[in-house]
Amino acid sequence: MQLLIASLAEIAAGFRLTLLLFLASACLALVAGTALAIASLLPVGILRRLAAGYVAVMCNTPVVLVFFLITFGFPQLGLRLSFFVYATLALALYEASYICESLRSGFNTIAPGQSQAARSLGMDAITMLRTVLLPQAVANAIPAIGNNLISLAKATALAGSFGVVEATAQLHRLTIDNPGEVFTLFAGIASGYVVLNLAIAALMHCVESRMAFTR
Amino acid sequence: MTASPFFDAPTPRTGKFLRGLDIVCGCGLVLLLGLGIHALAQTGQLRGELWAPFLEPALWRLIGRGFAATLRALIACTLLSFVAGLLLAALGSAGPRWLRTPLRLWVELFRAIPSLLILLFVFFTYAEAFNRIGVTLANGLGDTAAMVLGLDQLQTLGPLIVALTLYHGALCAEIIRAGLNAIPRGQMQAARALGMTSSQAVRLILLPQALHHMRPALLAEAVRIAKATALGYAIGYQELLRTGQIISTAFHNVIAVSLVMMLIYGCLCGALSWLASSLARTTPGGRLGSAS
Repeated sequence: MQLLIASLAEIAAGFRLTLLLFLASACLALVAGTALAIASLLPVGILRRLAAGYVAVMCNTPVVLVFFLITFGFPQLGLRLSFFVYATLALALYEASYICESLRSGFNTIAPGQSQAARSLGMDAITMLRTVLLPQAVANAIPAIGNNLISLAKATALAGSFGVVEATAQLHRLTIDNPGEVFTLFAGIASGYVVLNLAIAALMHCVESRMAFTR
Repeated sequence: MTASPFFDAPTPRTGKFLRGLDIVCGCGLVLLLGLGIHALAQTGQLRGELWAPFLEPALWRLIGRGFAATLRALIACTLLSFVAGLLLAALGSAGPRWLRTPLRLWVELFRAIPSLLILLFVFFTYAEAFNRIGVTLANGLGDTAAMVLGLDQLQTLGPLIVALTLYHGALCAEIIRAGLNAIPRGQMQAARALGMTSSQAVRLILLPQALHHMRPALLAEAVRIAKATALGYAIGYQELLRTGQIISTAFHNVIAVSLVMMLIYGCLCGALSWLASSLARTTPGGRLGSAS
């Protein structure tokens, strides 16, 4: 316990990075995932196939490999960025495919009459997507997206193995200095993750009840 | 081009427009691909000497060893996670009452912690113990068995199996619990009316049905476990990705190696995903447990 109090500064700094990493990659992944989901619904063959291909590739690749490719591959291409940016990109590119899948199943639960009614009211495709389909799809997909975000929060731990000194990397560092107290450090950092995930779950629950609509 | 469920069949004019859009997007894609290949060529990533190592049989033997190590971890973790999930779900819903809350807490806890954190903790704490077990077992079982089981790497394989079982066992427990909850209550009531105890009813009536219906979800979990074995990279377990990293340090060909690794993982996970989705198609949908 004393060790946890003594190393509170390091652990807090780690969680600050974890949180920043989560927020940055979540925003990017939500935008990219929505774009992918819309692309996979449009009546343009090549965009649908592109979105489906991207999702198939990402869903069958370990996230560690995505980290590996970006962190060590980008410098080879002359793209020298910070480890934090690499990690954000890796997490966002990976999680976007899962968010796309969640949104797509959200779209699939919309009754076909909705789009037929919108069309018969004379809406064009973009208005229909914006005012009728997307709001319902998002509302349907919120629980699944909440699960995606929790997975994303847990996946940020990997950044610790790729140069970002976030909470999990702090476990590594602090253990080297205090080899006898691994369990205390593990318990402290694990409870930090539990709090983070509970907060995300509570937030998503809040959003879900906000967006609930009567059918 | 298949019809999208949200759009009417296009009028001739819209059809022409959509075809045009298709061609424009196609051209854009080709342009983008060309730019990508140009960028690779510009930075020298397509040079022959970076790809030539993949023509050597010796390199593929190394990759094969890595793949075997990944498979070893995958099989052990999948089996153990399924067993752990089964136990957690069955005892959590039909075990002694005092055990149910702790088991739920256990599942919720391990679902909320990153598997890498669990892995590092187990590795830091038990690597030595696993190493000793590996040496003892290797002496007892002989060289062939030690090689097949990967006992020489038990120092890292052991923590990987334990950590992934703790994490994915909790996830499997949730899948099986969802399967149990989806079975109509009449099944339990009928079993109790026939004089079965509730644990008998769960074991003989509910679990077989739940497992049958959750086969696709459990296989999807196996795909996630296959991807998670790459976490062994972080503790130096020489599985596929670690092997790739060793190759890329030797030949300075990170991008080439990553692409080959993506292909191998894609085949492995793709085969498992395909099995899961074909099972999902053949598993009857609709109400569980209803006569069909």
